[in-house]
Amino acid sequence: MTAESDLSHLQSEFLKRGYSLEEVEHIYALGRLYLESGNLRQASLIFDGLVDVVPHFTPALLARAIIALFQREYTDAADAAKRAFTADPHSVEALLLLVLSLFGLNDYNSAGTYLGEVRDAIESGNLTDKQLLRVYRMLLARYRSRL
Amino acid sequence: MYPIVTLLPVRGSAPKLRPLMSSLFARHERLRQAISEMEMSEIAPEVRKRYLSEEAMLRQVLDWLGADLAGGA
Repeated sequence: MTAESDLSHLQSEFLKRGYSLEEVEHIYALGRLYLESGNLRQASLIFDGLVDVVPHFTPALLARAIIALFQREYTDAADAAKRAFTADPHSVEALLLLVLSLFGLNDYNSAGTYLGEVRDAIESGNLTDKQLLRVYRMLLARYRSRL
Repeated sequence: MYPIVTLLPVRGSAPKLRPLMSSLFARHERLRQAISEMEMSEIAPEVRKRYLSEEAMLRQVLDWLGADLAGGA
């Protein structure tokens, strides 16, 4: 997934829960705002609610992984990142967060496997986002330093 | 901002919640009512958890919007 990917396939899931895509995305934006300013408690309330209302909304699952990483809850972070990847198997963000979580768990073997999947996405031209590439290179350097 | 947060996709706009405040407030009221009715009935724990989680989310949104949750939007 990239930041521009289409969530319209989830529209029926949103509507079933009584929310429009627009409402869900604006609520998500507020959660992101809280996270950017370091208000983890408020951000958690927003993202936990979004995941309970719309379980396959990948951006909220990614946010939960990030919050768990901040809290050094690496197993929870890995679980949230895996759920995000299941919801969107093209999500490079989910793979990168999973790698970070596995580093926290000292599971460098599994982290290397997922870094390989990101490398495959880069080599096939499916990953061009500069920020994601920067994070990938940073994680790769950290992985290699442990070999 | 924490650099890792940049991994999050940018979507929606928090200020655009303002015109939605009345409908969010009404939804929050309905949820509160449903939760108080649940207290008196046998409800599956996962359903109850989802209601409580959604209520807390909406309360946080309405708090950010400056809604008076005790007296109305």
